[in-house]
Formats: sequence, structure tokens, C-alpha cells
Amino acid sequence: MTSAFSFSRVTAVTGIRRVRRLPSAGVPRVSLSQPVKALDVIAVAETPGIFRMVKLGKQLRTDPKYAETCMIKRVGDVVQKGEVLALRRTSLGMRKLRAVSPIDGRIMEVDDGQVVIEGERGYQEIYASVPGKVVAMEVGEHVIIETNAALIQIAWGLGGLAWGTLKLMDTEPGLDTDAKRFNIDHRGSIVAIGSPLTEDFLKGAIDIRVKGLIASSMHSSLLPLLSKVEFPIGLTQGFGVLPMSERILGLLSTYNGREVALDMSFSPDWRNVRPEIIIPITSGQSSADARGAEQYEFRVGQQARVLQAPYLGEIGTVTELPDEMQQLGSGLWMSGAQIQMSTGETIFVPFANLEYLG
Amino acid sequence: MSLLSNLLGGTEEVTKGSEVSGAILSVDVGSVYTRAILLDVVDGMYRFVARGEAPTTDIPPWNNVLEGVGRAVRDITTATGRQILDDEGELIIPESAAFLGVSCFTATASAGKPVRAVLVGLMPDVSLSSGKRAAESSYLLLTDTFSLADRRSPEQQIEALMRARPDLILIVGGTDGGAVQSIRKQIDTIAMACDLMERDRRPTILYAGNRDLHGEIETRLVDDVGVNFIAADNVRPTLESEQLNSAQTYLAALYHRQKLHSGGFADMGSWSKGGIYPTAHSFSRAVHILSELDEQDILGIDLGSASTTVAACLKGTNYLNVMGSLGMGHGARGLLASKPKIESLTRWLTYEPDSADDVLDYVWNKWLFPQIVPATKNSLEMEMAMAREIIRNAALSARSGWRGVQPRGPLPAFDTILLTGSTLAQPPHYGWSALVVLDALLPLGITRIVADPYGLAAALGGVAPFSPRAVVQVLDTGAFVDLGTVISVSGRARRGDVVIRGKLKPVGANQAEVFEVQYGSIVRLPLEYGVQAELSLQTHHVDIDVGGRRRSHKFKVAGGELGVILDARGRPWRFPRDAEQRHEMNREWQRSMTQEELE
Repeated sequence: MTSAFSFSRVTAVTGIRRVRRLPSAGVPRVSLSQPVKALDVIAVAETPGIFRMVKLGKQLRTDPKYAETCMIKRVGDVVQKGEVLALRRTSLGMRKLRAVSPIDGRIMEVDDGQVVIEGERGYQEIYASVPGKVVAMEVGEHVIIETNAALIQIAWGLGGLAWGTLKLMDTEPGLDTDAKRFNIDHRGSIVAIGSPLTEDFLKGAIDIRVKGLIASSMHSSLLPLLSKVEFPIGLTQGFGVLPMSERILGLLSTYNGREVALDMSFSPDWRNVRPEIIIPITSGQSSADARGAEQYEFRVGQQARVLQAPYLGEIGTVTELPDEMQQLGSGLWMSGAQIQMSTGETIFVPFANLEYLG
Repeated sequence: MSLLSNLLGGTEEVTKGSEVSGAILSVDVGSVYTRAILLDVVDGMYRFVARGEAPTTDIPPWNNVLEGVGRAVRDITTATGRQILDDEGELIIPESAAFLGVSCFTATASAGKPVRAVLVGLMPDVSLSSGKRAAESSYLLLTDTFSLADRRSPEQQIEALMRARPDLILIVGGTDGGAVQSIRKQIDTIAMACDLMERDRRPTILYAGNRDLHGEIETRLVDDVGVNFIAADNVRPTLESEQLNSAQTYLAALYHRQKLHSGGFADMGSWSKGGIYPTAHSFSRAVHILSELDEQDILGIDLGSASTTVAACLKGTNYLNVMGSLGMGHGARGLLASKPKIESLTRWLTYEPDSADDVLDYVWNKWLFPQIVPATKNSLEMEMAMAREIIRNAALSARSGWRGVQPRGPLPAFDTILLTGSTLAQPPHYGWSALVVLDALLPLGITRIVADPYGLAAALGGVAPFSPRAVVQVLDTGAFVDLGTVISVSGRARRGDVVIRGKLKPVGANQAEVFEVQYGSIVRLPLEYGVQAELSLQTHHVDIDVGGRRRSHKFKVAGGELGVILDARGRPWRFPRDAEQRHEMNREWQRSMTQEELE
């Protein structure tokens, strides 16, 4: 078995096709062939408002079924807060009992003497997430965007989308993070470091107001702090104290100073949607996305991301695919590949601990 | 139409047809691995013939499980020469010639998105707890629960339902012939919320409450609102009784229906007479069959990547609990949800991690990369520490529903514990399987531990409705690996004191082997696989909880992969505070169980 368990992409230039799924009520706000930026709204969808129920029988002091006949508004009517929904004259005709709307909204339903009013609806905006050109769209289904870009899919991310100028602080991967390197140039940019994210560095990024942050790794104990952070954060390797892969740092270095998009959307299964750094490129063509799925088998020369300590997140090259299973340090016998790391060292890695890199 | 589709289509009687007589292919699509199993008749008996395994391909770039299924099945073709798929990748069924196709195909799955569900009931400790247990029999994600204890107004409940966007609303509550008013109020809220939803987004309603209200609720929800309505037997027909089977079967059918919308599952479902059963459902059926055949109380643990299943047959009652977000990979984050102390993991290690962060980071990385396997001895120990805590938590949660069993305290006596899932059933050494399960569950008395390294249990559970003969015969011919009989003692003594003296005399041997066991140790007595022996034990300061507190015991035991195991660590035990002593203790236990020299 040489099949990959998971797949991601770290590539200098590729054709990217992103299908942005729309909620069923989603309406595109773009036209075909329209160029879009990562943070452009490409569709909107209504979201339900708050609901309030008015018990007519109670307010009109009568039988609920009879109270329905006292309605002066109908299903579908727009009403304002305090507006009369139903009216009943008392038996002596001296007083008028009123049932009024508790909110601004629309009458959705009248049933069993109860009026359901839905408050003002909200709008969910769907962003392009990738700069490019709209190539297809369908109401309630999707908007498809294509672009040519450098694409770096990374281990983990949080915080959604960002678009800004990439400012790379390191030239080499490392483990020591100096937190005092921020200056005013970093404000509003997407900052990347080749070393782990620390609490001090994070505070510095918050103070200087960066738009996004890319680090090699961080301790998971920092996660609670991130809930208050208002910009997206991505880790290229994973959790722990790990230097950035040379290949990824090299790509970031190549595009240092360019506009980049971060898509750090959350996924319950990270193998489904890896967080992405997308760097649009105007020249170059690739149809890599259209490649047949059956090709994702490891071969000699194939690039792979190693997913086991101490090389977690490192990128290497398959040099050999042994026929026989081999015994790991843990005692398990597994099929795998010999991988040459960037240091020149060659190690045996089971297929389960390798991610196929496209 | 499959059995499960028929069930949702309202076909009352499920026709099983004649028993299958040829080769049977069973496929299980897990979150990480897709496994195929071939059962065939050899010398007049069904046997487990071959298996294939491949990564599950429900993720990009494949987004279609058939890729993985095809690879796993081709493994079987390579091993046996039987052509199972045609050139287009379609299953050849029925068997059209010798070694061409199969007579029966069954499918189980645990991969992919769970069914999003909202549970509605009355009393939290009565109907709602029964509803929760029914829900735990399948891969359901409970996003909200409504009950009489719910302080939210109907408006807020409607809003919550609209935002939850459930695929399913499971309504329980009310004993048969009991109160109806409170249920009616709940139904009014649900009807209003469903009416406000777009027609194609309305959830299916599974009603398993007071039978007297069935017709009224069906009219209210189907005629007035137009939702898809299914009625199951009341999960709580009386305050004292619980019947989950009917609701559980419908939940399995709903899981099958949801799966048909995922890439490749529809094709796979069309090959199968039964449909796509939740793996947990089939696993539970296998545990039940084993329990009936052996007339034993059996506990089954399936430790998966995304979820952990506990299936128990205890004193004639079957229990099934799926911990949907507690597992070794996708579900690893569930282990951290209860904010456990780091010591609950580090206490099982033979080394001191550099920091608490290292331990947490390991668990988080397992969640990021759920397929990874431990490459080093240290990572194997971390993995096994996680497994212990996951099993311990899963069993604690499951036993809260076992009748007559205290939520805390010793594990009830199970004759056999069946282990499946690659961490437990495919470790580097079976000593790990036994050690992990003994540490996690702390059984007392005499227990047989059995491993399922080929993932046969769920397959056999899936095959059972079509060929009970195949299931019985495959079990008879050694489907599982018997790790051995464990005798566990309770009580306290000083560490190092001799607490067991005994003799082991294999059948046919001239001499018995005499041994002593010290308190605080776990030892393996050599006895070849399948060989019967007489085991005589004299205990001092400790008890073997079998039929009173005798000091002298005689048992008939059979050898397993690990011979016979004597666990003289007592119940409960305390870990030494000193880290080095603790490490040495763990080294000793590991060495003893895996017979490996540790550094």
C-alpha cells in the first residue's frame, strides 16, 4: 500500500479553484468573470431574526381561537414595536383590549391563538477568501473562483480571513523567538516568523495591530489566549516547539512584501480543509487542481510532509519505497517510505505519518 | 432497496430472504481506515479468508469513499485470486463463477459527519436520559436538548432550533398512558419552529415517546407542517422500564439515509441488501451474538479515531454507548474537553516529559493529524496513556446506564472483554492491549481478554442478518485472538509482599509449575495458546472476588497469546509520588506484560 492518508499543497505556483458553498438562501453578489479580492463579499444570505410569540387569548382575555378572529394584521404583514395586532371590544363596549407587537418584524404564523413575529433578519456575508476571477455561480449553491497563486497549506489556523502585505521577520528557521522585533511597519501587515509563537510575541502582535500572524508552531496552552485575538493566526508545523520547514520559509521569503491572503477557517477534520496562505501570481499557469485523484500514490521523488516527532511538519523527498514493512522505534511494523530531509538525513517514515504534498 | 431503506419507507416486515451460501464481502469505512473482509466456505465451513485495508478517502482530493473501498478490496483479490470488482470498479454480485464475485455484501461506516440532532423530552432523569442512551447508539451530534427543566422561553427554543439546523429531532417523553399536556407544549414549539424553516431544510422527527400521543403528533407535524415523521416504540413505556431497540434501529436507518448523500456511499449502499449500518450498531450486535453463544456477560470496547464505542451484554440486557467525540485521533480533543489533570496521562509513563505542554501538544497534534501512528517508544507510551484515559471515561459514561450498577466503584464482573480498534487490537505487542484495558477498567476476579486485530467484530455483526451460520462458524474457527485469562485481586498489602502462591498444571503435563506473586506486580504465567490447565491459588491479604471470600481457589484456564495473567496490583492502587519510583513501576508492568527490556 503506497496510498496517501492525507494530502496538502505547498507549491510556488498553481492554478487554484475554490468552491465557496452558499447557504440555501445565499444569493451571489458578483457577476461571471468578475475579478475579486480575498475579502470581497461574493454572496449574502439571510439569517433568521429573533422570534417573539404573542398569546392573543391572554392579551385579549378571551378564548384563543376566538382571539384569532380579532386580528387586524395578517401573516406576512410587517409590524412595528407597539403596533396593534388584534383588537377586541369588551362585552359592555366600554374598553378596547389590544394585543401589540413586542418587536419590529414580520408576522410569520398565527396558530392556536398565538402570533409568531420574526424580528429583523440578519445577513451573513460570504467572502471570496481567495483573490481571483469568478468562473461559475448558482443561487443557493456556490460561487467558484479561480486564480493562479503560490499556495501553502499549513497545519492549523484560527480566526478566519485576512488580506495584507506579508512581512517575514526571519531568514532562517529557529526555535528562539525574539518578541521585541515589532516596529510601526508591521502595523496592518501579515507577519510571519520561522520560529514558535510565544505569549510575549503574541502580545507584541496585538499591540502593534497586525492583520495576521504566521508562526511555525506554539504550545497548545496558548490556545485560551487566542480567543481574544482579533486577527487570524496560522501554524505551519503544528503544536509544540518546532522550527518552520525550510521549504515554507523559503516560499514566504520569495514573496516577502507581496499581498497575501490567509484563510484560517476552522475545520472539525483538518484533513478536509487545511488552512491556507495564498499569494496571487499574475503569470504562470497550472492545472494541478484538475489532476486525477488516483495519482495520489507515493513515488520516488515525491515531496511529503513528515508528521512525526522530531520532524513534525518538515518537508522531505521520497527516496525509496521498501517492499517490506519495517519496524519502528515503537515496535510497530509498518509500510512506509525512506524520506530524505532537508538536512540530508534519510529516515524511514510510515505512510500514516506522511502527508502527500502536491 | 436495503433493509434500512425499507424501514424508513414504512415496510413493517423486513424480509431477510434465504440464507446466503457463498462468499461474503464486508466493508467498514472508518474515519482513518477502510477495511474489507472476505468470508468464504472452506471445507464446508465458513471461515475468515482474507482482509484488505486502505486509507479512507472521504476527504480531498478524493471525496469519495469508493476509492478506498476499491483499494481495500483489491488487496483481497491480490491475496486470494478472487475477482470481486469489475473493470469499472463495480461489485460483481451475485457470484457468477468460481472465484468471480461474491454472494453477499455488507457495509458499515463510522466515517464522515454525524447526524446533527436535537433531543426533546420531559424529565431529565427519566425520558431524557433514556433518549440520550438511544441517541448514543449511533453517530449523532446532540446540538441541543429541550426538557421541562429548560428555562428558555418558547421563543428562545424556536430561535435555538432555527440556529441549530438539526437533521433530526428525537422526541421522547411521557410513559404510555401517562401525562400528555407537557409533551403537547413541546410539540407546539417544534411544529412552529419547523413551520418557519425552509421546506427542504426541515428536520426528520423521530418520535419515541408516549404511545397514546403518536397519532395526534403525527397529524400535527405531518399534516399541518409537512415534516418527515417516524414513530418508534416509546423508549420509556413505564417509569421502571426502558426499551431502546426500536429507536436505535430507526437511528441506524437515519444514519444510513444520511450516508447515502456522501460521495460513494450511495453506490456502496446499492450493493448491500442491508444498507450502511453504523459500525457501532454492528459491533454491538456481534457482542450480543458472542454473549448468547458463550452464555457470558461480555464487554466490547471499540477504540476508534473519532469515537469510542462501549457495547455491553450484562445479565441478559444489551447496552450500546457511542462517545461520538472521544477517540484517539479526530476525537482526541474530546479527551481535553473535561480539562483533565496532566497527571492522569503522565502517571502511565516511564519517563518525565519536559513540560506539561509536551503532553497537551501531543494530544492536539493527534487531533490535527488523526492518522499518525507512534514512531518512538515515548510516543507509544503517550498513545497508550491516552487510550487508558479514553476507555476509562467512556466506560464511566456508559455504566451510568447499566441497570443495577453503581456509577462509580468496581467494574461489574464481565466474563470476557473484547477489544477492537487499531490502538488496542494491533499494538506492537498484545501485552499492551491487556495492560491498557486492565489499567483503564480495573476488572476484578476472572476475565478473559480477546482482541479483534482484523476488525471482524463489526463485519460479523453486519453479516448476521443474512447468514447467522457464517457468523457462528467464523467465530468457531477463531476469528479473534484470545489474549488470555486474567485473575485480578482486590485488597491492600505491602508492595513486595507475596500475596499469591499457586500452581499451574497444564492438561497432560506431569508436573505443575509452582509460583509466587508479589503485591503490586502483574505477571504472565506461560501457557501455550489454547492449552487447558488447572490453576490453584492461595491468596494472602488479597481477595479474588469469585463466590465469596475464600483463600483457596482452583480454576480451569486456557492459555492465550499472553498465557495466563495474574494482576496482583490490588484495587485500587496509588501511584508513588516520587516520579522515579512511578517510572520504575510502569517499566516493571510494561516489561512484565510485553516481555521487553526497557531502558
